[in-house]
Amino acid sequence: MRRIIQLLVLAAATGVQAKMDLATIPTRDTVQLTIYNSADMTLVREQRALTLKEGINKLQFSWANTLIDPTSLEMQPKANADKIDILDLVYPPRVQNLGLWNVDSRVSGKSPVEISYLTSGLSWRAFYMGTLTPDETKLRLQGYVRVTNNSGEDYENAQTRLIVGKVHMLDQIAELARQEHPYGTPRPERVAYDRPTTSRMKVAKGVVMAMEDSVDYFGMAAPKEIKKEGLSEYFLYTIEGTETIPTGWSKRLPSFDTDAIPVANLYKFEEERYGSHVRRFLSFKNDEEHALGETPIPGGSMRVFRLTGEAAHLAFEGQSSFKYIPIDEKVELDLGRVENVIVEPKRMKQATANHRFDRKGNVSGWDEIHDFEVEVRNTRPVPVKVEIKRNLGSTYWKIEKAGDFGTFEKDDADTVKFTLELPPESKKTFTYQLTTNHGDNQQ
Amino acid sequence: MKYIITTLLLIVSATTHARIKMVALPERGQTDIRLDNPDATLIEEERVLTLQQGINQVDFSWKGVNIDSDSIRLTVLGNADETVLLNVSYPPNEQALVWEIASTSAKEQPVRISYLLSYIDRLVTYKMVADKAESKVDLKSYLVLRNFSGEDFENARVLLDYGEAFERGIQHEETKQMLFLKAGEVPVEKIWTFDAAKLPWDPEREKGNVGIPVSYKIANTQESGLGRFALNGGKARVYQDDGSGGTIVLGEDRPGLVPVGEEMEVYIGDSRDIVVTQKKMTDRQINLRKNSRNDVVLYDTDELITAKIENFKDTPARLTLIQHIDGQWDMEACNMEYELEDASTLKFEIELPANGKKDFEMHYHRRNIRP
Amino acid sequence: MTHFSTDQLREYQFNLLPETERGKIDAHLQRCAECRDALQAIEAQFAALDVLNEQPEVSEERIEAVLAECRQPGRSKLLVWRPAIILAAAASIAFAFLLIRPGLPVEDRTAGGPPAPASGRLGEANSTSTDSGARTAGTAVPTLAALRASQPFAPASNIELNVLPRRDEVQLTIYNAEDLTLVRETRKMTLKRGWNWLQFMWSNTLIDPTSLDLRPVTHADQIEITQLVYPPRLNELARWTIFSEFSGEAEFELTYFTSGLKWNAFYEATLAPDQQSMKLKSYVRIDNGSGEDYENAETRLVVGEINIDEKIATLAKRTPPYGTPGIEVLSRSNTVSANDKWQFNRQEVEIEARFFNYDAEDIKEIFKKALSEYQLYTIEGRETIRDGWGKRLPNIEAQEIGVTNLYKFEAERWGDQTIRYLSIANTETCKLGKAPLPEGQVRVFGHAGETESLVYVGASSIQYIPVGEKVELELGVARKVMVAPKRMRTRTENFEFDQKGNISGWDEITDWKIEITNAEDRPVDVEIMRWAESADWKVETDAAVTTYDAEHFRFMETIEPRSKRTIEYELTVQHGTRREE
Repeated sequence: MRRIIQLLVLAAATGVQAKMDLATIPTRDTVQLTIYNSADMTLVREQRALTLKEGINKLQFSWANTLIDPTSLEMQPKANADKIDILDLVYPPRVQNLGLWNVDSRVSGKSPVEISYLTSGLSWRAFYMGTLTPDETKLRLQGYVRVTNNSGEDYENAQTRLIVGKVHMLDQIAELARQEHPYGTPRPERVAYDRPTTSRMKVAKGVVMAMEDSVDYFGMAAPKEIKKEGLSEYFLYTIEGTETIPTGWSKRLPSFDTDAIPVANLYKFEEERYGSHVRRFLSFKNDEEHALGETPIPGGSMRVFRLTGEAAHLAFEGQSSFKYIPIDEKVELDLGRVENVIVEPKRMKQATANHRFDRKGNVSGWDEIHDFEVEVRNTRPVPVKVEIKRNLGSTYWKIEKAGDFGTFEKDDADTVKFTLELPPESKKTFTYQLTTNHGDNQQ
Repeated sequence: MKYIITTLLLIVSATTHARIKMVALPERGQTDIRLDNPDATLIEEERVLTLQQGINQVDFSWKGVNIDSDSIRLTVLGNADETVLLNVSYPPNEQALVWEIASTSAKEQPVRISYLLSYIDRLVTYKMVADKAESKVDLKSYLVLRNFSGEDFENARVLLDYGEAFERGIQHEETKQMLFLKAGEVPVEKIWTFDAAKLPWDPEREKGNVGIPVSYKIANTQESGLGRFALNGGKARVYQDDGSGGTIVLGEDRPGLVPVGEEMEVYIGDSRDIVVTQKKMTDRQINLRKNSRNDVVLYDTDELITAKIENFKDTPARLTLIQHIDGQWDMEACNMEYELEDASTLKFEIELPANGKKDFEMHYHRRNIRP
Repeated sequence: MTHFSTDQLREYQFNLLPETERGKIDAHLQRCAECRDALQAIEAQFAALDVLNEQPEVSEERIEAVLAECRQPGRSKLLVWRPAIILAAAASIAFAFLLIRPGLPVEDRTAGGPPAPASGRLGEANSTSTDSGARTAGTAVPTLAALRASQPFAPASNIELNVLPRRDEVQLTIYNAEDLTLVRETRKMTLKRGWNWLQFMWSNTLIDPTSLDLRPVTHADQIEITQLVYPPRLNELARWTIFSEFSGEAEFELTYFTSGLKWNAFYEATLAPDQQSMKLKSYVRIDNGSGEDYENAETRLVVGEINIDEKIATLAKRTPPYGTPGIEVLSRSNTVSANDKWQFNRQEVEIEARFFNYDAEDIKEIFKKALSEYQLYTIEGRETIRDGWGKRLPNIEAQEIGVTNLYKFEAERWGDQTIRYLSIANTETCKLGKAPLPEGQVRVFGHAGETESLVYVGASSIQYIPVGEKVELELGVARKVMVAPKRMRTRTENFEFDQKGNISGWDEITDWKIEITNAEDRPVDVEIMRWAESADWKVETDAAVTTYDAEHFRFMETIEPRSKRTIEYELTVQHGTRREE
């Protein structure tokens, strides 16, 4: 067990610091971690019961080899608030990683206080596993969070909360933790004291895998639930019960598990974006219709598997990552380029026409006419939907389509989209003539 | 070499200060190596865990083996309600994880562990032996399994994206080659291609030999005795029966994936018995349109291309001649028929008699060019 | 202290030494660290051959017994092959085959005493294996299905290990455009019913392990080659698993690619005193740098531009044979620069070409055949080409080939120099035309005046000449034929103006005079190529002029011996609007 952060209550003597008596070492009663994923920052709130004497009490707080930001240290009495005054916090000279609180108490006896501070070294991330049904129409989506503790401190039985969202921070907590003097020195900027990082990475072998309180030893245990709630611009995930993640360890916890999300398999082709290959996308929406929509989905990587239809065996389909998905937003998972669906656009003819001349006889306007032939082939044994985007290179255009072009729509001012459904192992061909106007012909 | 190890930990009391790895390892049962995804190899292995009632900790470690740790999945086979995976812990500086599994009773629980393993894959190679007339090939395709993952697989079921699964063991650092496709008498088309944009026009003025690229084309279709599945890309070596019981090598190429219904083209070498000498005989501006300052603002061209195509072989051959005309153009006269590949690419199929010669002539105008 | 040689240590390592000598080395090794290191190096080098480390496990006694067989006196064939078999004594280490197949338990075999030296080849059935056949026949014979279901590798006690002779027949097909040789070997092997292993080793050679291909020639329907394994941590070694439905001898064909063998062609041309005909001799030269001796090989040469995806020499060096996943194996070599191709030792050949003479009866014929886009030359009979050696053979010889002398001038290509060409046609009328001529160096000799003594005229390289095609041999700068074009007068005419009075078009007219000097004692043909620098031009002259292409025109003149000729022409180039006409 690695417990480095220590709180000592020093006897309230006559104020002569040289004669300090050690009173008690109050242990943490409860601890709560709020871990951010957008910054290397965790808010730690711990409660300890102090035995105070009437008068001035000195409390020494030390944190060698951890990554806490000393400037964020704060103590609040949780009872007798009117009778306990936190006078000051002193960072004594020539001693590092140590703070001294002077507390004026008008009561004696046990009194709970809350100490809070920011630390770096704890992190979490979300990742996902998708499992497609053999016919690729439905997806089981399993969300996980992986919490990693590299803070140098073991937080035992901590209530763990995870923040989804981007916070604005002036300083890096890890930088502040490395400062020799908590607030620096009133001199021009100096190089931060560089403590060898190995000291905190070196982790004691042999740690306890403590049983969680929530686990019922003899009945049936269930994976912990993660409660999700919105707070300001952030989303807060609270893990049920408490967690013990010794320093150096990380832990994967299931976040949600949603079965049978209807998904669309979409094959996209856009030369300007993806080159000459078709890319496969898996799309669904974070809404009720797709058995989701209760909370935003934090960004992360996702591995997509497919049930092969044989004894629950799996096949690996691809890997993709997505950004934060707000509620009701559409997700498109890029599963990479494929070679079994082929789109081949060919320019079959090009010409210029309708030349217009100005008074000086110079060309002032003309049209460009391009004939395209697009062949779409599906060599897969399942039907596919193919979305073909064509960039027209001009916002002044006219298109004449012919053949099996599926549905046609204007995507933006200079892009059009053809969406085709292809049966298994089939081929479709369509043509279009694109006329773009240039110069005066745009009027 | 066995690096992937599963150990079962008994319930650890809160006072125990070490992770206990049990000595008795659950033996790896049925193992699948799934090679259907060219980007990653999925391993699925079955093991029987001896679970106690309550919470069990199962240690899975993979020292020296490259596993994507987020990809590891544990599937409980049967009794899914009675055995539940609670969470996964990753110990520091170790390639390992600890599953916390709750069980309602003490039992032998079969599970399946799936994960993506690096440095294990498959290659595909082809060997074709053409007959003397070069109209058919005997096609063989070999599967090459390469295992450099750090893990030995004693006996595993190997699955590809097509065809039957087969049993095969493969050790770490071992490579195995095996035949998996054999098709006799696959029709082959031999093509000579002269692309005017790629080859020199006047071979006599070149220092080295100018050869006309020669390719073999086979169709991945049922009619060819193939067409059951896409042919993966890989090195193809082409041989020819030498008529005296042996073979010679014709060449090799590395075609890409050929889906069903598509054609595989294998470039084998260059022919020096067909010679194309191409010249541009006319190149003029015509039909000039001018502005009031008498500057040309638009013009057309008058261009004449000629080519002498000679076949020094004792056999007839069909040459594919590729010509390029950019922009808008009209053909004025051409003494051979062509097919338009795209707006600027013209494809001519020219039948050359044995020891014969043909003259090609193409007279065209490019239109509406702006200086 | 004197040390033992590498050869001696190698023999020691492989237990090939008599007891007394072994003892000596044992004692020496105790004292000498240097020799211990040398021995360790040998061990490391031959780690690949240590079959004991790998399955199938073979007992020490069994190996001893097999190696003892190899040492049997009076088996000349084996002795000849010994270096290759155990890879011990020979400096050039080459191939070795081991056939591993289910056999008798060790005790049975050793009880049978030393094997009778009945057979010339170890791979063939020997007395013990015939015994075993008889014995198994007595007991229940396992079904094929049972055999197939069994592990391909029998337990250690039941393994029979055989070292096979090098090869029965070998054929080499050597390419000249690429460093590639196709080797085809046939050999007979005695298989046991059930699973057999064939181990192939090729240390210190240049073979491409991915090209290894084994095929049963006889009993093809009863023999199945299930896989080829490149075992872990063993280099230059591969094993085939073979399932045989019968016990007995079968013939196999093994093919593979090797690099390090090359061939090229070169020519020797002697012009007749009148320069109107010449004698042409061609040779082929084969060099073996493959690390392997090829004895009594049928040798074939291929002329043609073959496409190779990866260089064979690169593949020969790659371990493991197919590379490692995740590490790019593609090393495209489609574009082979001239430097990559075999360099020809000019000096050496020049001397050889002049003074090498053949006895007519020794000359082997080279048979020529067209295959696909290539020419296949098959050398009559068998050749033995040892590693490091080269061999030269005459190819074609033709007398009195009619030649045309042509002097070419083209300022844009050669500056002010005139280049001499000798053209011949690969046709029957030119006493050739039977087969295409492969590319190669040509050395042209002439006669000094009317005498018999020869002079060196020049060297040129000949490109591949198809049958029926004409070829021009470039003989270099002709000092005695000079062409000097001179610009005599330049003027502009026919101006056209636009509406604003600016110049919009004009003609540029240049008068040229070309002086041609022939200092030779014979008439010469001169071809002068001129560039108009435009596609809009016309030329006026009294001389014979032809349009070559859109921007070039050409004069052809025959100049009498020791004389001069001047041609004059007027070149008009149209500019601007004048081009519209």
